[in-house]
Amino acid sequence: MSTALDHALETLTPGQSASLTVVVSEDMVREFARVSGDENPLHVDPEYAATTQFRTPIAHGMLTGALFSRIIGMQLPGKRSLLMKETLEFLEPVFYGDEIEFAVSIEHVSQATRIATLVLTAKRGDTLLTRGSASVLVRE
Amino acid sequence: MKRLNDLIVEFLHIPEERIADRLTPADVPDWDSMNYLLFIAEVEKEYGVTLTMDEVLGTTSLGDVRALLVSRNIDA
Repeated sequence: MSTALDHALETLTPGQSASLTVVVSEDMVREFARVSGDENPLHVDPEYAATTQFRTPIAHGMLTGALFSRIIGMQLPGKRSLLMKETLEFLEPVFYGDEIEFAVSIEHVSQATRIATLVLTAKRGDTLLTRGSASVLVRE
Repeated sequence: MKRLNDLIVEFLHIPEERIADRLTPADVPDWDSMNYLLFIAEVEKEYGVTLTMDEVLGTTSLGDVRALLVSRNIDA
């Protein structure tokens, strides 16, 4: 089991960031389909996907959401995180085998409410695939 | 910059026409402690103001929140 980093609220500052590079494999997409129950053929059936505008299967948008959850829960802020709100815009599709860089950056820290607001981005090379924001309660 | 009323609509889900300074959590179904924390954190971010926990705990109505911002010279 991986060990989550531990950033206390008092140590968080705007601009602080963390990133993670993941190759989104067909196995990951199939596993996400199994866990979520979203077995839409656009994600898991190459023959069906070939008839669509994408020509090949694409990953679930929320799989990228799950990978943001990973970086927030394991890296920044890490183990004290309680994800309270996340908004995502899926700008471009993610295909099997894409190498994606997920990044989170702290935009604001509220000491009074213990909530850190983070900016989220996922890129393939220079192409912005997903952007969003998250509000994370940083537990004591 | 968003108006305070915009944040109230977005986070506390109160229709704009129903917003009034006298409103308290008892009047607003979606004004629970978690939503309120998110609302206050967004108010701080939007207006670039830092509030203390005592100030946050001391607000019991929308009017209190507005007065707190006005006391920091923020036109809310």
